[in-house]
Amino acid sequence: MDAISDNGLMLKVKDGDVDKLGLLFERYNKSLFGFFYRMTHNAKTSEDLVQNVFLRILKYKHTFTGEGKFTTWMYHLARNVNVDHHKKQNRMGYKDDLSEWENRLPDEGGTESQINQQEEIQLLNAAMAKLPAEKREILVLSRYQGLKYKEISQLMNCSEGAVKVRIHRALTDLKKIYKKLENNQAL
Amino acid sequence: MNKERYQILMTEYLNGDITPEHEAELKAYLEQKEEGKSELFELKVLNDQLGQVPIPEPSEQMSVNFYAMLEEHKQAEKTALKWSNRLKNWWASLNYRRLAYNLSYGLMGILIGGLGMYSLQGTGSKDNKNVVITKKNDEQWADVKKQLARLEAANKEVMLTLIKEKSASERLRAVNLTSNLSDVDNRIIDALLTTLNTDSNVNVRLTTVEALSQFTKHPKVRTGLIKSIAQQDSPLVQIALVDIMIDLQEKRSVKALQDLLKKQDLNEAVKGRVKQGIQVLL
Repeated sequence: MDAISDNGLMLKVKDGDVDKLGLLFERYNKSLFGFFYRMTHNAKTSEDLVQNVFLRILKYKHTFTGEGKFTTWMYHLARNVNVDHHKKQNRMGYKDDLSEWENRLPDEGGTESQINQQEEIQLLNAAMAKLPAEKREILVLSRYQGLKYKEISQLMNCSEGAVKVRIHRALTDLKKIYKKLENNQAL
Repeated sequence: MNKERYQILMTEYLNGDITPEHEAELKAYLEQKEEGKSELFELKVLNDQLGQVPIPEPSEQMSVNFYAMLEEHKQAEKTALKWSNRLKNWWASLNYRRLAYNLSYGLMGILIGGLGMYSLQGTGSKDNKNVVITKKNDEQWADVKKQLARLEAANKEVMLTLIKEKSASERLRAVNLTSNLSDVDNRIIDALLTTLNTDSNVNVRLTTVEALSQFTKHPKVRTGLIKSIAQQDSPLVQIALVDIMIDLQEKRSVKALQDLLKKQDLNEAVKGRVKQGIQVLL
């Protein structure tokens, strides 16, 4: 039902009723923020990138046909925004935001199991940070953003089978990096 | 089972969307492969852990920025519409006449050319006829140019009178008159800059920014716009000025923008726009 009304809203935006974009923003700002946060681990940057996605929605509203799901189209724009952001970072010689994340230590305090869990999450974040961007992206889209294989295949222009294979490879690589970091920590 | 098939089934299993048939196929395969079982276990643990990684909430500022951007977009669309209407009016009034003269001038030229060709084959007396026609045409054209110049001069005088009026709508009319001017002189620039910096009405000031933006080829206009940043207290006018600085890539405005950021009561949406502007300009 959501998909139909999302498309309906977007078609109204396309027809010039741009106030309807506010409703789409209310629906998707958090999930988009989540996508960018998982990709950059920087809240301020993620907020700016969410803004860029909505700017692009306005700029490219004429290209929305209403045939596919709105979210697929929105993530298509979000992926481009993400790619442009990383290109810009590299061009300007900035360090990847993730390097900061890797060095962050878990907060002190709490029970031993809480500390262990914090450490595990910390290690997992560090491993995610080391994963190549395209592998991190497919895990974020499938695992966190809840996109269906079909939607990801449309975004990445490949078959659903290829999406599943890529997810498995990304997860296997993540496991290898995680283990390596865990061993380094134990030394 | 080939490697890809195994990877597909593993992903389906870990994502919890495997069909009973596929699950049976995977189980049968893992029965014969011990390392496959341990891989499945390890990936399942990792996959579950991924779900526990927390994510912070976006700040309120994100919404504020979004709605400011939406408002700005709507204003820009309105302005674009206004411009297209102005263009139509301009076309319908001033240029309609100019076009008519141009066309007649062009046609006259063709006629003269034709006559010229004819005269090459003809007598000398025909040459004299051509000279007479061309002269007449030049005189007509000079007359048109004179009339246009007179019209523009009159427009300028009306503008300079109206801009001093008490009524805001009259002052707005005065500012709008500048859209018909092909260029402005120092008197007009001074009048517009004074209005921009001192007019009590936000709409008048906002329209003045728009009017001045047509004449940024004049260094005095550019400098005046930069200086005006410090004097504005309306967020709309501030944002309009920042946008012009970005459009013009006016790096000299960075200092003024940085000073604006220091203002304590600066609107949050403006703050975001100014920061963005400084980033672009630096």
